Amino acid sequence: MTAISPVTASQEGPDTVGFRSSGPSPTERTLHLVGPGQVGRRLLRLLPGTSLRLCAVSDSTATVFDRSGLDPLAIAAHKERGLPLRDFAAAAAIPTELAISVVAAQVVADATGSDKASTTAAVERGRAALRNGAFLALCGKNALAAAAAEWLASEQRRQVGCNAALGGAGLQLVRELDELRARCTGLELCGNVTTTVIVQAIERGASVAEGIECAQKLGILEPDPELDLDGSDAAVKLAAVWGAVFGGAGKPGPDLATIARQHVRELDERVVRERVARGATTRLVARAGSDPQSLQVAFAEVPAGSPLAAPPDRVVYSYRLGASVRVHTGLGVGYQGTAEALLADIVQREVLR
Amino acid sequence: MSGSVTLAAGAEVCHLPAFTLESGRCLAGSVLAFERQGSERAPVVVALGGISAGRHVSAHAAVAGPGWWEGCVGPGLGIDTERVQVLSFDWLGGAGGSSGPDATGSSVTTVDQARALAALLDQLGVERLHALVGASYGGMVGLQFAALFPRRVERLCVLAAAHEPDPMSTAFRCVQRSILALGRETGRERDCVALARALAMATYRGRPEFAARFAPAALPAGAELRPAVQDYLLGRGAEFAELFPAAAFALLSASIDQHRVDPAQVRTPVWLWGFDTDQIVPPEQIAALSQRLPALRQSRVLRSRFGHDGFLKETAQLRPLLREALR
Repeated sequence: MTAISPVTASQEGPDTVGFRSSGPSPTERTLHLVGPGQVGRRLLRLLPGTSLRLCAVSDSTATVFDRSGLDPLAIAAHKERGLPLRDFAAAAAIPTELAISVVAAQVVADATGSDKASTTAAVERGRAALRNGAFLALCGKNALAAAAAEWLASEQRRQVGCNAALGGAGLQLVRELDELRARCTGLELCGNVTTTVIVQAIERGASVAEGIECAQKLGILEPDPELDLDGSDAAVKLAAVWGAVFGGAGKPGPDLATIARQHVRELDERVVRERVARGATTRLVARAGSDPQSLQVAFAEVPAGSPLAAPPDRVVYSYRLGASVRVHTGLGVGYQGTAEALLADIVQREVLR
Repeated sequence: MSGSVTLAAGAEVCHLPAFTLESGRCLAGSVLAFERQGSERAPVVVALGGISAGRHVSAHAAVAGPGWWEGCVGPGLGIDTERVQVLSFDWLGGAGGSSGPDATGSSVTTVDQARALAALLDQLGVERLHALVGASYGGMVGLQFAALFPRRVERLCVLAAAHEPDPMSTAFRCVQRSILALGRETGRERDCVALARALAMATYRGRPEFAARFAPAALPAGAELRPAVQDYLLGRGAEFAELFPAAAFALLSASIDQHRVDPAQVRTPVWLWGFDTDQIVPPEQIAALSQRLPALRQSRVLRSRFGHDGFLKETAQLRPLLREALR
């Protein structure tokens, strides 16, 4: 704030008396969105009314940048028409990692999807953001799993948000991470909503194939549906959380490729229904102890009152702490839920730094 | 977007569907921690206690430690677990394993607790309770449940509770909540929880008990004034403060003072029991409620030197009454 002396004020006239601002409101944060896809577009539509100033958006073709602020709704509409950003006015066709360094926004929201092929690029983008001192809010589970020990099991966790990557349960993980790292001896996650939908359909009398159709109709499968159906989505989330809770510099981490997992087509419909008759249910449970070889993903019988017997509108992450368990629930499910989880990460974590 | 609770390993929870509290706030992604004991296929009796009571009502095979109502719930007791299945849950917003709104500017009412119970029964597939037995805050929630869900409960036993708070009790709780607020402002939350609880304890007990336990002793000249009752109350307050967060205490205390039920809406058969020395729910309130309940089966004011805590201490009187009501 520039102090204005009474003499200066009278010489300059009444319209310059008082506080003179030379920049944006101190509470406004600049945001660079990477990946205006299904989740990213929904995030854009949530931005009006927040204290975030969208200053850049990058897709696979170009980056649009304006430090004074972009119209998030205009960009969302452009992308909803199926158009690439290179067709947007003043777009620059530069690599996204370079764009992140040049834009140097205070917050980088990486809303790109999770797939193995783009993991390395996502990790490099994340590192670029963190080098700039930005807060990195991540959607991609694969990137998180690859870099969990580097980003979460270190002081750098203050700059990293994983709420969206972990279905809305990432905020609580980071808040309690010191305690979890000190006391947790085991993890159990019910983190894949798609398989819960399929199981519930089977419990109501559907076949496995019909259950999969039911999930498809709800539009909740990953862009590559096999990642949900073969347990890979659950395995990646487990690896990410394992890295945060048990990982560390120099410690060997889990090898994603070797994590045992079970395909939903292996479910026996009769067994699933018998469990219901006993007052239990079935869930795809991802489990691990502190040993990086202990990670596994399998369908398991779960008592109806177990925290893992989650309905399909939420994920549940359970951390064993001696004789008790810490249970985190997340509602960041589906595209809208994931976008809201991403925004919650930025608003609740970044502004508190 | 997310919630965090801590549970004993093996504790059961109900994942609550999203619902809007009476305050207008939407409670999404929350859990209700509950406990069951007794015969699995037997009629279900819900037992609910005071604000510091939780889901563990009494010791049983799955959970061995003492509960809050050992003398009344168990094999062959007033609520006979050889004949019924007993169900209870941790209060929303309380100190147990259930979720609750975060403390700032939020509230949970007895209506909210009753609706949470209904959601729990839905998950467990229990269409109709054999009985709901509620004492103190639990009795308030019981009245609310019967008013809101008359088809879901066959009979209601209400102990030391009424359709609205007594003004003098409200006065005591206002002072307690002011002490809790002072704790927040000064960073001495735990000390203030202990002090507020000490005051609460003084209101929960009866004058005859204190007269017998804490008769004034001779005070040597120059001796510091420290009556034995002071050590008793402050000691109980300190124990409580180890386990009960200030926010939960304030929230549930306020919930009592927000409680309102129209007795005319409680059409379930009711057994209503109070205690003659109860300072919190005095006999006059029990009488007023009994006159307005359309399906009252029994109303009694029991003699007790223990005041409001008579529901915890007078197990010898309560067992036959419960047995008879639950037949």
